[in-house]
Amino acid sequence: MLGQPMAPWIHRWRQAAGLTQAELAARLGTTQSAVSRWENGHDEPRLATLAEILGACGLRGELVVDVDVDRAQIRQQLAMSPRQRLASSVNVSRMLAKAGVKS
Amino acid sequence: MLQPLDPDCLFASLHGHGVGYVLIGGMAAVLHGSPTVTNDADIVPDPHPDNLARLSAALVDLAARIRTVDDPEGIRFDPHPALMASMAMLNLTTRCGNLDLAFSPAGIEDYAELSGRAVSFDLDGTPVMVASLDDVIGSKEAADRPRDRAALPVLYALREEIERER
Repeated sequence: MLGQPMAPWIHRWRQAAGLTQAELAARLGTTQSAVSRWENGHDEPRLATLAEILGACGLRGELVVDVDVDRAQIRQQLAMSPRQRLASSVNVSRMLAKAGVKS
Repeated sequence: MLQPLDPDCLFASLHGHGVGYVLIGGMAAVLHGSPTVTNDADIVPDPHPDNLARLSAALVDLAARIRTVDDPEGIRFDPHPALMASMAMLNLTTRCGNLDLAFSPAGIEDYAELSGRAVSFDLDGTPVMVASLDDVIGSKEAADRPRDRAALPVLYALREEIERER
């Protein structure tokens, strides 16, 4: 799940718990506007806060990082000049944007 | 107004206006060799008032607007140096793509120290000060958002590969 936008998840967790934004905020000792900002994607909570949100919604979960590191790809990048690395990254970002994929 | 990222355009404007800054975040990681995709530039501006005045002029040149989720066109604002001196973070959309200004980024307490450890990259004649890979990693560790945590394994591996090549 990590690396994905958290906003829809926080919204789902709160709704599953039958809480209003204000009620969830009270449980977390924060403000309703902070919860609103998380759910709208305006702000992103830290991992520790995410764990607290899960708990406040009566849920239990494990926050894990699941990332495959391709060292061959890293070595390929290191063989390029910084200018080439930047151009490559930006080009991929543009292609993803054209395809409607948020990078 | 949503413009594709054009780093050359962005850096040329900042350089042309004499703005002192250090590039951090995903684009800094890419320049160091991270095989990741970046669609914005994160910079830490030198907080000196004279530099904020130069940054203000650059932001006018870049037609910078405040970026929000709800309004892709961005919101008009006056990039007055006094405003920027009071901000922690500004997410902007510009004619050269998205630009995030981090005035007090996580894990970085002092601009002078960040700048002192930064590395200068020459992008076709435009010098770009890029945070050291250790500072990029430290900043992501301190921010500790899910996307930062997800980026860290690649950055740790990158640091090992760079050390291995030395």
